[in-house]
Amino acid sequence: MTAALEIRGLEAGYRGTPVLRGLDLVVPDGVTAILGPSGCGKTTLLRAVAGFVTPSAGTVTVAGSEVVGRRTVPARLRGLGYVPQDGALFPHLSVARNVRFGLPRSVRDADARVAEMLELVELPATMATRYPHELSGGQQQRVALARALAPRPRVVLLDEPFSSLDASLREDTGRAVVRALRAAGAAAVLVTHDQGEALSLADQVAVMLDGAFLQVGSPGSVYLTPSDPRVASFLGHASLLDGKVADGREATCALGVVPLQTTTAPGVVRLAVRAEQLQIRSAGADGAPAEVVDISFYGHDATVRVRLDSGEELSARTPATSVPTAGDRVSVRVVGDVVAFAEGP
Amino acid sequence: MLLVVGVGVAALTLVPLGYVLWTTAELGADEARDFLWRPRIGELLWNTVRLLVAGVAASAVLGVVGAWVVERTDVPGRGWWHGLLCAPLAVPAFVNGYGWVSTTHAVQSFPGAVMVVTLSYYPLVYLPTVAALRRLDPAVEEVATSLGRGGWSVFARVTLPAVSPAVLGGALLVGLHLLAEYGALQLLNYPTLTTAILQQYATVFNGPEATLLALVLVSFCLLLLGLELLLRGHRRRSRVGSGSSGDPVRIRLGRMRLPVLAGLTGLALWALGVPLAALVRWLLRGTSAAVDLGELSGAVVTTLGLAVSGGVTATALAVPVVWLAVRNRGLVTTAVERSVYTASAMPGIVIALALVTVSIRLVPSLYQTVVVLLVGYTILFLPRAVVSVRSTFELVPPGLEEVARNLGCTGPGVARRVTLPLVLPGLTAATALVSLAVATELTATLLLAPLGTDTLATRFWSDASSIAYGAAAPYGLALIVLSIPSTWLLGRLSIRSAS
Repeated sequence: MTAALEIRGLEAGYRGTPVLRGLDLVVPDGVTAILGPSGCGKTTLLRAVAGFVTPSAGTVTVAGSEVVGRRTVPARLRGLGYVPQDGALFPHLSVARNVRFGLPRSVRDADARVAEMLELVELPATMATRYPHELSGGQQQRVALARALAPRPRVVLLDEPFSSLDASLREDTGRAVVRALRAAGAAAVLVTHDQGEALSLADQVAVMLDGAFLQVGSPGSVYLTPSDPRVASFLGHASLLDGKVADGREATCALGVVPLQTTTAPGVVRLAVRAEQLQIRSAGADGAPAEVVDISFYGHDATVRVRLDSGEELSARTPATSVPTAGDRVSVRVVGDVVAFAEGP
Repeated sequence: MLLVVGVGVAALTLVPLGYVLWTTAELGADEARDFLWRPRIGELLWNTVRLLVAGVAASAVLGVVGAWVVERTDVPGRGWWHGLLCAPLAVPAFVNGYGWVSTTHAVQSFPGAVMVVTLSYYPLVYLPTVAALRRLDPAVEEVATSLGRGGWSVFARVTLPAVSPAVLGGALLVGLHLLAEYGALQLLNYPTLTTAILQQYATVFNGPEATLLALVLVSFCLLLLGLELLLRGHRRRSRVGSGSSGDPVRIRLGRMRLPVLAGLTGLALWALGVPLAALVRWLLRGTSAAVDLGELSGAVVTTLGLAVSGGVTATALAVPVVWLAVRNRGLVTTAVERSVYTASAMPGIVIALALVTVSIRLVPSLYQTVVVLLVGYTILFLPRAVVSVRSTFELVPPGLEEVARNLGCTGPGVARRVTLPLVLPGLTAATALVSLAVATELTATLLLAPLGTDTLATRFWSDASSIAYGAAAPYGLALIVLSIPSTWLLGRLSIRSAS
């Protein structure tokens, strides 16, 4: 089966400064999240695929037919759904007329399609006669998705679709959007800077930095086995520590001797310790002695920043029931295997 | 105190409307009907209506197409074209009329009149449309493209509905200007209600006929205003979401590039080249008659003096009106602001007629003095001053004033130490805009200027209307030079990004 979307060697730039530096990505089916900090080029990538930015090199193939490469297919003929940041509903058209906007005149039962799409995005049919300004932010996003799905595209491109929603709405809307995409059988590329969103909604996550992908893989693999220290610190809020490997299975660092996830060649390494791998215990217990710098309390848990007596600062996540106070003396211990990256020569 | 001033200003701006209604009532219905029910009036109405319809339609098409080409295609040299498309605003319509009529008499016809007024007034549609296109979130157009729509379909179904309030507002302005236009149409020998009022005034001074024609003219203006409100009312144009106004995707002109460039060049030549060439030609030919530098500099000094005092007066009176409307929202203050806006539908000729009559009847000592002239300018340009003063006041968050109060400032202290320093640049801009408008005003000045007070516009007019084209040229050039700064300012404002 051909991939829904295939990107090979894609390059693009604005006025001589490269923004995309040779990207490769295969979107088989399901949801692929492009995750990266703002300014990394992820929106440019999406717009290049959609046809609003002209790439300087590379190919884009949608469902087996090339849209960028030897010839450039204009944006309107690419058959891609597009959902921009705020949904960009046409403010002068009702919900129903927004949804049917992209349907060719030859579609006979456009009304039925509108109803079907609204059902797909879990909106009541009575909403069809409303106007965009009468909808909440989450409803607008769902209508925008219904509009993009109505012409039955193979791939839908979503550009930070939930970033303007409240935290409480964001999760529900995100789930509903993914359900609708699956029901419609459309693959999706979701651009986001929110790692929780990327990890929880996507089947595949591509971590992007400075116009290049650092790692592409399942949410579990990019989180648990990062291939690059930058991926580790961006995704898991991991603290990076210098260490030394002697026998390949263990490393020595400021936290003592820690087990490694994979066998590593002896030498100097960077160790990535994720926040939930660090256990804060009362002073004197087994572990490295440290002092609590500050605490961010979230309710369900808390992030505690500690300074080891040897000078390194680390972030640890602790259950809400056992939160120390700033200035406390504690001891810190690692739970589980640690990822090591060989230091460059 | 502020309220008293505000209500006073509002009363002043209602004088013209009150005058028209009152004198008509005084006249009696029978006499009015006898006068109005004549073939001559029918002819004037027909002339006015067809000029209005054709001129507004042509200006709207030209303005929208121009704005779309500059903002949404990859036409080379977009910044330059934007400047050139705004530039006709710097040529007062009566100077443009002079340029054309002194080049060819073929323009003394209905098509000629439509062409000349369109070339003068289409920037009033162009500017707001460019600004609206700039503000429009490009994502909306991109979504339409990704849904399979071609360039034309996107424009007609998404872009145009979104910018239609701006187009409509611009078209209303064009309409009001066309109804009030005197100089250009008189030169083109195209009689309308406004030129007829001035003729009546010139022959029988201030007879009831002029008043009745003014009543018809004012009704037209109010009708236009109502029509625009009606059309605008049903439109849903609220913007959804905050949106990031990025760079829009520009349409590649490809093979259409040459025809588009040729069209833009033609428009620039027609709207700017012809009047400027005529001015230069007459200037060179007129050197034999020698420009009277003394008279020219005298007119410049008078014009500048009137312009600055008119600008300062209008802006100073706009401040209390805006302050009331923005900071003390209420029934009375809103009414004050609205009544100022009704003056924008009053043609200069009606304001002038009203002030002549009222000053003769109530304060004869003021008749034929600069005071009445300045009052006329104030009523005429107060709406403009209020709009620009208001936009600067809205930039000052009320939070700042609350903080100042919290730190122990009194009411006047807050105004002096916080609000006024913040709005001062805006007030200066407002003063400049009104001053420049005053400097090129013709119709009201002709009626209200005291004997012997010659402005550039009236000197230009007396020469141009007596076919002394060479003598008029230096004044015409001076008027254009005076109009360049405000045109530049408006052009800049329209493309300043919405953020």
